[in-house]
Amino acid sequence: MIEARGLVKNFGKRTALDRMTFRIGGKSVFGLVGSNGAGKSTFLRTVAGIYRPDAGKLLVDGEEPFENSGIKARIFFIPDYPYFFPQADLSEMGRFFSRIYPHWDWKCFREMNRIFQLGEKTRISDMSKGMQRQAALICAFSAKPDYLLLDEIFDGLDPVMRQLLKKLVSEEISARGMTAVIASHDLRELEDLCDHIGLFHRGGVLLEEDLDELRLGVCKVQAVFRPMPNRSEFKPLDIIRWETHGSLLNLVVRAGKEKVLARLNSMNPVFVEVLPLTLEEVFISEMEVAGYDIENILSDKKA
Amino acid sequence: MTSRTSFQTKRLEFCKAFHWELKKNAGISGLLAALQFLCMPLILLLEFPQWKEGRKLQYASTTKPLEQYESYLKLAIPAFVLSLSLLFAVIFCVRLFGYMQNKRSVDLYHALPVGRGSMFLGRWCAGAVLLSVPVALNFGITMWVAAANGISSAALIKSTLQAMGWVLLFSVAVFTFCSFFVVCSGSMMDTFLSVFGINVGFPLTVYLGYFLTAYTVPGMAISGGDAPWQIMTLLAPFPAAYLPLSSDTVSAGFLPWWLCFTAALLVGALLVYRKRKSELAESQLAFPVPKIISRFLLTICGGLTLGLIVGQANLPLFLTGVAAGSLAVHTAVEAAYSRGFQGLKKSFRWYAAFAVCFAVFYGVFATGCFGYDTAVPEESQIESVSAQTLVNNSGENFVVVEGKTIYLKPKMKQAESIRTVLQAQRNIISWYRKNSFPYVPCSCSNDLTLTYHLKDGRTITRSYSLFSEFRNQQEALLKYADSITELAEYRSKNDVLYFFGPQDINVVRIGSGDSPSGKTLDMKSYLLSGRNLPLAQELMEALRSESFGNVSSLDSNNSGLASVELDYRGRIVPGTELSEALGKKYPYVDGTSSLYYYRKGGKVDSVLQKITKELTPYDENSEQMTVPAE
Repeated sequence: MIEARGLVKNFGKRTALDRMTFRIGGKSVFGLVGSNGAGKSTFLRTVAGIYRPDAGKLLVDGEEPFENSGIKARIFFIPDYPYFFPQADLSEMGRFFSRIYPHWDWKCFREMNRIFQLGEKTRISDMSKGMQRQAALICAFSAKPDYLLLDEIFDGLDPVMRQLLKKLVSEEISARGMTAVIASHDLRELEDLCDHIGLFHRGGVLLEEDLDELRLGVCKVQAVFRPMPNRSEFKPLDIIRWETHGSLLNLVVRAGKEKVLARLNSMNPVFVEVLPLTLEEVFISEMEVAGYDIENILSDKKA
Repeated sequence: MTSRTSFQTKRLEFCKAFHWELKKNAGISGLLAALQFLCMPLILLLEFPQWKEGRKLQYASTTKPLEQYESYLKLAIPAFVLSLSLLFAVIFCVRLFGYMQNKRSVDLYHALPVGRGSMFLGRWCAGAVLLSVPVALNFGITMWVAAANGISSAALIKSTLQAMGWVLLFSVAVFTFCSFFVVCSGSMMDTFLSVFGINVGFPLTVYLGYFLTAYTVPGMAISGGDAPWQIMTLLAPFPAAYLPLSSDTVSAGFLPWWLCFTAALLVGALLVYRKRKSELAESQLAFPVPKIISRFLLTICGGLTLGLIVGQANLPLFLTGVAAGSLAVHTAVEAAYSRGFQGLKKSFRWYAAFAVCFAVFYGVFATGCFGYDTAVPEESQIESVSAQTLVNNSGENFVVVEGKTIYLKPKMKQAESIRTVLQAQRNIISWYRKNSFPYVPCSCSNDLTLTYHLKDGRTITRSYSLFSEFRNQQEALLKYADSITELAEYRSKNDVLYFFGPQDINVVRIGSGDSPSGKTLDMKSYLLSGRNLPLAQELMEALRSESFGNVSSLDSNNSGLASVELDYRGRIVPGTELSEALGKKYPYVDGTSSLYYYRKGGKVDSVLQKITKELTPYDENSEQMTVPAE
């Protein structure tokens, strides 16, 4: 389990992680989403033991990872721009990691090479961005970590490779109980893969929830009212977004489907329908509540 | 159990880091070995046969193989072997520790399950080994080549091993020094700026400070030319590396200092690295201390250099030069570190720190260094006084013995002499106080040195400049010096004319131009023939009473002057005044000459005319003394 307690990380005067507190359970896939500069990469680097927290604690299975070789041996981090030795090929990187990571599996390394078909003797610096990410994934899976931290891993991977990655991650979780923490802006991919989602914004956590419960807990509703009632009449529903086009009302409500239907039906609508909500829509809605939406950004710009 | 486990874990991590870097950089080490092989053993392999045939190196003055081998080593070791080692020390530092200055490589290395201490030490040890093995190998091959060619002198082997030791020590010292600055800096540019700043700025700062000390306060008895090289390179391993290989001796503390300093840098680097934040990679905000020190030293250098160039003996110009030079260098260095001028305003607080330090340091010397300039001993404390002067000499105050010039160290003991010297010094001090206060540096020679030997065993020395193109009214200073050099006791103890007898005169050279004869006369064989010793004695007495040591205080265009040079050669009798004046036992005076000026028409002139008639010319090309005609 990864646990953050009042975690703070500053870079000069800028606070990247602001008293963050939440947990990531084991044997699952945790998706980190958030606005730009929300602190996702900083959080991953803190979990990987690269950054030392300025305040608070970050615990992995009860121990702090910073300068803790025992914990770090169970964590593998792939950053957004993975680094390889200059002029190195995949086999050299494999030899390097095999000396460092105690659970390194050469059989898995060869198998991964067969699956991804990169070529062990090809210089990594000559590879494309997507291929370099694949090389990083080969090394990561071969190290057999308990915690796999991926930062913007889908960026540069073609759709087939994305599917392959999702499959491999799922297999590792079910076979070995690995935990994967994936930070990405590609909400569609995360939606397919993640069990839990954490929504970061400006160094804090806006929400952290099971994905299914998140979907169940937020509804998108289209309804037609004649005449259009006031917003206040929709209490006690927690309305995240309100949009009207004439007599057509589009709502995003934080509540269960039955509760929403019951309330809206009691107001005698002409038409009401609950629609499936994508993770992207949840993200945008929650960001609107936090004041991070297009209208606010544009109005700030004009000001 | 926990600590043993932890130690074992750290040892394992160290070994992983060490072996990996050793393997990865073995090729570069091989390149260093190959280059050093070319410079030393290979050249010797090719040259030895030629030396044995009698051919010699272009710069060598001998054809003997042993001496040629020594000459070559004296050139090759500092110029090639050491230089290559220092260059590769920098290269290895960049390769082994450059990762911490790149965000992407930091993500890799700091995420690894290897502790920072183990990683740093493993890499440092790998670097030290990679630098040392090529050096040891090539020195070993060199000594084998020498032995195979019959050179097996124990002294030479010892000196070669010593040279190898110095090269090894300073390769590791430079490597550690650069590693320390890599850890402290956010980028390689900052690292190189700091390394350059310390290795250039520190020696220059010490030198300029020494120069300022030597040439500001009147009476300061140190010469600006005798720079303390070993102190100058105390914190600068690059220039320090060449000292033990290019000078015959280094102080006893040199080796312990560099061993301790290198160890301290290693410990410091380790401690700093463990505290260093990963996010400082590519940042200009890494530990600011190296930047502050480097910028401070270079600011001092810029200020003092310009001040001394434009403002010698001129206070407003000196201070303007210091201000302009220091400000320019401070701005340039700050711009280099900040890659622009954004941090310039904030940096001026450090410039203010420099200004305060300079004001205090210079203020101390400009005002006389807490009374150093005016300190004059009491007459009652003085046992004797020596005066050495480069001007107003009555004759020559040195002899040549075994090829070396030995200056007389006359001590005046008479009360009147001591009083006169004290008064002269007080007059000189008053002159400086009136005309040059507050004091400004002036690179003038020490023309007059007074050494007081006190009754309690102490010695007080003061040196003054009497002549300078930057100073006006120097006639007064020269007059004060004349009051000393005209003392009878001074003349009798500071001129070889009073120590030698007529039997010691070898050759008499009468000056050309104003002189009637312009001849060189053989006095030695004249005296050997037993004739007219009193004539030689008469010449010496005439010179003692009428001659001048030089014409600096006279009108040099005076056509009434002529010159005569006496060439002495002879035994120094122990217990005589000459042997006491030399201060040490010397057996023989070898080719000492002293030049005297005299007015024509006087006693000296008349004696020389008599001698000219009596003596034959001296054949300087012949080793045989000519016998004068009967």
